[in-house]
Amino acid sequence: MFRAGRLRPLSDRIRTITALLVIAASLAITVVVLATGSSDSPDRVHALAERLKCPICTSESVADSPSQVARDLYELIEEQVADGWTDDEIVEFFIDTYGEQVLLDPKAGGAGAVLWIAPIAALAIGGVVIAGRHARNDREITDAEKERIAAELEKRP
Amino acid sequence: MIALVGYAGILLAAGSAVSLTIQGTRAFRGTTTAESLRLPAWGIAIGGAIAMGALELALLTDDFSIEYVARNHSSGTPLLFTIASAWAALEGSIVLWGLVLAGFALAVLRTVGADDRIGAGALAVMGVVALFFFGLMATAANPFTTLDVVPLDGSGANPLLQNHILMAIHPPMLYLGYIGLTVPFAFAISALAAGDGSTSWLQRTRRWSLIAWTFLTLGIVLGGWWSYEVLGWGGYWAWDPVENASFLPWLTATAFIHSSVIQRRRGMLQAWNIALVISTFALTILGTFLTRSGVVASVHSFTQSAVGPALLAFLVIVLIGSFGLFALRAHLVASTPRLDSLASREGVFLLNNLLLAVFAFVVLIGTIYPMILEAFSGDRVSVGAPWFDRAAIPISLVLLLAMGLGPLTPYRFAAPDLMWRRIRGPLQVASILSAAAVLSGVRPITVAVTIWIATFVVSGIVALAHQRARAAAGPYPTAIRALFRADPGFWGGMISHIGVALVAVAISFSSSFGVRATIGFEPGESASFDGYTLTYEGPTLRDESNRRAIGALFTVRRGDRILGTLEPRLNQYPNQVQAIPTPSVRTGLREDIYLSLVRIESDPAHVTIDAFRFPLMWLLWSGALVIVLGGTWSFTARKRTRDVSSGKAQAVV
Repeated sequence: MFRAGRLRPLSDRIRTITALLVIAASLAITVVVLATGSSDSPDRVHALAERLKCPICTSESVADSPSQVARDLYELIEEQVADGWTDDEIVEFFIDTYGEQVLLDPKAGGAGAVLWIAPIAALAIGGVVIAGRHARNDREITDAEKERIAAELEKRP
Repeated sequence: MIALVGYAGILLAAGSAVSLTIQGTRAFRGTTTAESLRLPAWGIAIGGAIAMGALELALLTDDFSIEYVARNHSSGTPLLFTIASAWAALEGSIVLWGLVLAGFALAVLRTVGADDRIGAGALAVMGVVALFFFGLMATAANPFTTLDVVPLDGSGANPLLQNHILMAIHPPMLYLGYIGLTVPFAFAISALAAGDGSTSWLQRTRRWSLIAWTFLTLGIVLGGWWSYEVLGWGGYWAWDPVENASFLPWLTATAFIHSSVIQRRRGMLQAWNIALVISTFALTILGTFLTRSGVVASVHSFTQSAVGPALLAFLVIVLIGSFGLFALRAHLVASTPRLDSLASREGVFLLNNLLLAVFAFVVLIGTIYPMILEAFSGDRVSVGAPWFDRAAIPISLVLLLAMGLGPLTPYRFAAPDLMWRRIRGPLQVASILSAAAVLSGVRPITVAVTIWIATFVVSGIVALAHQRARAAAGPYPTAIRALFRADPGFWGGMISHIGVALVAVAISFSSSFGVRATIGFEPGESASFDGYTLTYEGPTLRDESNRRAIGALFTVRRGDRILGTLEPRLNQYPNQVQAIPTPSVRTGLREDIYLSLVRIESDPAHVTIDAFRFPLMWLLWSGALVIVLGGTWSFTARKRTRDVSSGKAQAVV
């Protein structure tokens, strides 16, 4: 029926083409809708309040803490935004008032440098170790074995 | 009298722990049989039970001559919270810890045969851990310290405990998880000491690891639920150091239950598994240190009690001892790398382990770096949700994707055309559903991506089960059941994966579409909140035996339809100045309406509330339940797994 032994049955090729069409169409719809849809202007006050720690709490932000201090500071940020302050100016104001620890997301420089370097270093080292061990692998899988595994898998779902 | 009996229980347990360590070591060396471990193991359990019993009795009989009772109980405390007070404060929680550990030691003892040297060694390790905790109770954290001047009444239970029943259940669940992880650790150390490089310790502790993991998961979820239902800030997870303390061992334990699968099936990652199991145990001790030493509030407060330094010292001993032994025996456990190709089930498992390990490392750094920095340089830095989220969201999404690919990827080598045929179905379902979600207004792109990956995970698992069941003989429902029973470890894992996918969707929804507004009301006044109408009917006041509850009654309407009433409250406890808010939540299929009382004035009864709207919260809790169910299925059902490489069936204990 087939000239080349590696050719898949017709039904299988139809399935592949259908799948590609469905996936491409869905992705196209998604991209078009996301790109053309009206993007809500982001809530600057809330975004800022989430980055700033409520000074009397252990780890909650000004946005999340139910304490009165946090509410007052939230209102202060609202006023500052309404008065036309930039994000940087507001953040600087909070740093000047409460110190660097008001930032829930520390700056990359100085004491916060470790917090930025360490995770990336960990990921890089882990990746290098895995790749390195795999490269030292003395027994690379042969094509014949790949064929055998594939044939074995064809027999069961 | 009660104090004396209780303290005697602690001493009995501590003495038995010494004996278990010595006899366990002797049995490990072969100079005695495991039979001699029976007495000391029971001694710890009986001593622990006496201590716990005495503490409960003291609480129930209002024995305020005992300092712990005077500080954590009052005659007005309701029965349930009186019972729970036994583990709600520092000293009592360590008693519960010791008792649970004793229970695990007894359960392990049942599996230890007469000439079982590895098992005896594991019990010796558990003896050391028990000795530490009962020693702590006998000295720095003695729950039976008596007072010279006996107060007439105690100051009452911790208001946060009394405020919600969950606070009584959440810690024991977490402890069962934490302490259960001692078992695989003890077996790993014992196998290392014996120089046994085989997988027998993994097979023997597989079930323990799964039990511990399931309870740890349940404990974390209950903690989040408690936070949502009680704390009134509207969230369930804040990357708080105490929360992170429970999440850290969960991450490494999750990595371990995955990587142990490839060691058992493919002989890989032997050394890595031991490192993971040691790290997990060390992280449980670190977690106890973080939550029990006061170091979270400030590094300067932790020296006030000797418990903090003792836990820190124990952590250092565990780390140096375990990793030192590991280094000495490294040559015995170095498995030959047998990774045929990165494009394989093993490759996906490696990705999973890399990401979980990095995830744990990130959370660890973010949690302890501020404390370390402050202790050594005096500088203060805060690490909060924005920092954690930046790492956690991409790591979680890639993990989720690996979770979708893993079960569909064959061991050893995945040929591209085979992979394509396996994933094209799930990919179509995922693409259609995420496109539909975007069409119906779901934004931003992170939520759409989460839906896409989560649907891929779920439909991949459903497709796998469907194909296997259809290929099997017999009617379909029977085939499905037979399939799940044939390999409970795998299918339990798949159920948990579905739960994780549901939780991921729920988290992305609640963090992207939560709405909060602070609204003030006069009695009888109505206000609209995000499509709902809230009407303030009036204040309520209830005097209960242990507290006074001031509430505000609200009617919730959507259009003309009355959805129900909500009554957020402020609970005033006699032993605390600050009232504890108790939010009131209406859970709906689409979303939760969540009201939290901020302020209430007396005359007129003007109120200020925080109103929240969170979509799909039920999905978060039910997804979490599915994770726990999957875990439970994996260790309760009888196990028979098939070895793929040789193709022959083999029974695994």
